[in-house]
Amino acid sequence: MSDTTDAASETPTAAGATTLTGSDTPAPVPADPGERHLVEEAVEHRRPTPEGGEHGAHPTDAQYMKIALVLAAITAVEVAIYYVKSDLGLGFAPILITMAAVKFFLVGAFFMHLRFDNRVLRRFFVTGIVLAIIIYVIVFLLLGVFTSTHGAHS
Amino acid sequence: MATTTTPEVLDESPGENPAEHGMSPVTNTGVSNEKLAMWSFLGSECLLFGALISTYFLYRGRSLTGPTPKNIYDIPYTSISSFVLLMSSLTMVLALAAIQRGDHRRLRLWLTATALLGTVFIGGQVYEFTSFIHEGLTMRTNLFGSSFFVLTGFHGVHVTLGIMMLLSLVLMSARGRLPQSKVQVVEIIGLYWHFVDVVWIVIFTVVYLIPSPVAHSTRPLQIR
Repeated sequence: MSDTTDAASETPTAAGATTLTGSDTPAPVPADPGERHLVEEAVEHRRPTPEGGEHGAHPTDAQYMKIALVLAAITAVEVAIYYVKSDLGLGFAPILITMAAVKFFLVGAFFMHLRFDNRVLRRFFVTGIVLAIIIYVIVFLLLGVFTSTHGAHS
Repeated sequence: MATTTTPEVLDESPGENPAEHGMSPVTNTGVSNEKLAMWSFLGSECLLFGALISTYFLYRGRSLTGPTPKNIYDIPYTSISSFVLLMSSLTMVLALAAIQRGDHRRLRLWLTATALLGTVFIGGQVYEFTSFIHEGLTMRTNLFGSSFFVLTGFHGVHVTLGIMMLLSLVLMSARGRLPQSKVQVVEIIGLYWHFVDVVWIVIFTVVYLIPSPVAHSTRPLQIR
């Protein structure tokens, strides 16, 4: 990606370093080469990284199209399973949910770049999903949805 | 060990915004605040749609009068709508890849295609709602009608807002107000669009493909 090359061209130098604390006074540069190396390492650690490039490059257009083909194929299989569900007995619902989860993962990981972006973003999203699942499973349990009486309470 | 070792040093000019150069600004998290805000918003949206899907699930098979899902859903029709929305995610990510390359012509092309596919989806939903109403299913008919229209209606509103944002991006790009340095704007709106798509993936499976229980329960839901 082009932004990756932008990042690579901005290699920091200790001589041109300034603080981020609001002051544009150059930071003192240690004379000792060993200490200077430590400063440069710290600068490299704190450098802005290109969006999405922390864990690797994003997929190419061709790869995006392949992922879309997989998603379309899974959708076609889902619809096919809907029509042959009588042959699958009770097992068809978990199969459909698993296939939906795979589609969810593919879109999230590749189209939303969660696989490549900073893991903090992934945690925010996963926290929302997990929280939603926990809360609504508790509600279902309270209302007896998973029991055979389906909420009966006498 | 020298006390002058300062991790905060950078070769940035004062006042320069790294986000405007396609770079993430220096924050505690290492990601831009705007992007983090969108992800936290999407996390909260999981709870919103989780509530709506759960409500639909709770009311499944509890309607005292028809129409019921079994005699009203048109699965082939909804499958095509789902496919259209799924493909709009592809065009959205291609638009993002285009602006990352600095290809503004393709950016506008893919953004327009995404908005068009979204419009086709919404048009299909309007047609579906209209046909359901003609068959006697409204929000007031039964529990199925209430939970179905609220869930899919909320999703439809999200798609409509997404289309408006996409068209705004197309206009901004056409007027030269969306340079490559603002790639993050496209990325953030793209995240919203993909989220709308993943929500539909769940709705399509849970609401349309997994049928309601055959035996209807008339007992009220009570906390155990």
